[in-house]
Amino acid sequence: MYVRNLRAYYTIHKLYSEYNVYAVDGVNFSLKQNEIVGIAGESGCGKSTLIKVLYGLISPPLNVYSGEIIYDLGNKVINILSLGEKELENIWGNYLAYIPQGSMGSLNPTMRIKDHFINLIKHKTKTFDKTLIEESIAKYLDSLGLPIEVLTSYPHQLSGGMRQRIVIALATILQPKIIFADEPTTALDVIVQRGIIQLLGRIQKEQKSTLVMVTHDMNVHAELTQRMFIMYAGKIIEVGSTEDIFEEPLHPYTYFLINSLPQIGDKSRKLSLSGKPPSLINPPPGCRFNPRCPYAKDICRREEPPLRDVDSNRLVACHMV
Amino acid sequence: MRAVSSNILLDVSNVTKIFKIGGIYFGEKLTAVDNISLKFMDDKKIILSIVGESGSGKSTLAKMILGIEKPTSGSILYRGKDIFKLNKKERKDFRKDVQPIFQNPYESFNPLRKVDEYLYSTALSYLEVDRSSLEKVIEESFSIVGLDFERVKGKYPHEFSGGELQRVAIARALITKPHLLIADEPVSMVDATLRMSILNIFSELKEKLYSSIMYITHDLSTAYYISDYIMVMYRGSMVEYGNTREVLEEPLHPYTKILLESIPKPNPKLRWREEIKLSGLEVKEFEALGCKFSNRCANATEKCFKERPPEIVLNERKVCCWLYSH
Repeated sequence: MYVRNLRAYYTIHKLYSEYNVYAVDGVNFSLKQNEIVGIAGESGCGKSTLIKVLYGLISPPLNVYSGEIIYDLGNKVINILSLGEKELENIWGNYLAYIPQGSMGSLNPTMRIKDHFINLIKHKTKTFDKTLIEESIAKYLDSLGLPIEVLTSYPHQLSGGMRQRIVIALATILQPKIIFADEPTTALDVIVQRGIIQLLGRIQKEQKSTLVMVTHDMNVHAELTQRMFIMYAGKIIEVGSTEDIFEEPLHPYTYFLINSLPQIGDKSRKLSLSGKPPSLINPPPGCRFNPRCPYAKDICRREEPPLRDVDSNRLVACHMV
Repeated sequence: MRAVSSNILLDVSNVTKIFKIGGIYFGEKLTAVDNISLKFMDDKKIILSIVGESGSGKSTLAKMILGIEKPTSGSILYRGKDIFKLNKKERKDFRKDVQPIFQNPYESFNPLRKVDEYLYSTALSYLEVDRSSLEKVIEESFSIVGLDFERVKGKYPHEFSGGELQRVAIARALITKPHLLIADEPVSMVDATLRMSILNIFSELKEKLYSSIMYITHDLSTAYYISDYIMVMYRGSMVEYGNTREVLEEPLHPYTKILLESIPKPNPKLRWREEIKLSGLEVKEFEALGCKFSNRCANATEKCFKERPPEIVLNERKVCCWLYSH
């Protein structure tokens, strides 16, 4: 799968004027089969918008202005931006799965967990043999190490962590090729978070699918992902293997993301970056990080640094590297 | 005797809060906070972290200390007086001395009011100052949080980033020169790169002896960074208490241990090896007969399921676990 020159903006209409929020602004990358990729960045950097677009969930005010998103599904090659509603329906769930932010609240409170699964399978695979479906659901939950008893429960009877695991099981029961997960562990306790991370890792390993994990929590990336994209203000500013990025972050922003939070066993004083992330309505000229960057020079304020190769599999967008 | 007791700013002893859920006849009881005691002294400023997962009762405890919830049993004394039986003047002093800081700054400010109005009204209602020295008092508290009051004037809450607005909220709390701040998850809504600016303000407040802080959080690493003492809570009960460094570097209680192990480390080479077991239904643990953690504890014996563990005091530390009772 690859993405070329993707630009996706939110267009906001105000009485007599119109302006764009440049949420994803010129993004290029590719995903391989059977890998775990992490997308990191602060709130408002465009990471959630990016995976929404990758999944094909594009509706106003979100518009795609340029670019293509090509998936190789084995039997055919598609550009998700040119698909109609019917074709998207067919791809969602079967080939692509999306676990949106806060999705554990999306289970229907009046339906048993079992019926969520049955509805999904009937709708997506056109299989109607109830015993066969129920058998496959039980088998799948068992393979994930989830208790079968939850199937007869209603969502409110389950803890938040269990609901989140059910949502993940729902999204992956049809063995999609790519799973997009948006902050799946945010708002969960650390022990539950650990369970969710391990569950996602296990599913990816067993199904040999591609997992795209979006979270602001760098520690979660260190725990789970193999490759990372760091985003800042709508742009990808650094790409590399997770080990390389943690060992030697090249972009100053990446360095701050990793080193700004305290760790147990380290009482040294940590400082915050000055300023705040720029507005995506009129981002600063040149490098978008320059107003907050301690190393910014003249060129950073004038010219936008391109994302270029520094090493094999290592890309960075910074004039100073 | 009198001199000793007046040293204690806030004395929370054996507070318990029981909520009734469900109907009047068939309602169930839920013990949200179970027999918690803590103290803040007037002359020694400390940062005390209360850590626990959701449902551990840490926010309910904060609400009781602020006088928002009434404890079912136990007492909360402010300078020797029950905070629920204060007269008008004493209540004003209490509010002046003990100030809250909440999780979401956008919820603590009315979006239709300019933020400086809050600052003026706080100053006017708690301090006996005239209009002319008002500005000076407010500017002082803004300089502590590293903001310029001139730049805050006339702005609405949405014009600030989360981190900035949280600093404004702290500045507002500091106007009355409080002796204790109750901060409930003050940085969990703030972006990672800005979080430290707020935590550093807290350290500074304590170091300059302005105020003690009760820092309520689910995040052990920030608790480690700023606090002197830590109390770990699980399902309403205290499981471990002590010097932050000692507790987090050498945890005693099995729950503290598993909590620490489950924090992902910022090093891809140090990943977890074992898979963790999670429980599905958790409500029952609140009313467990024995130790509330016994269901999930690897070291649990029969005794743990049947009897509440005693509070065991080891030097300056406390731990509630049968493992340490010999």
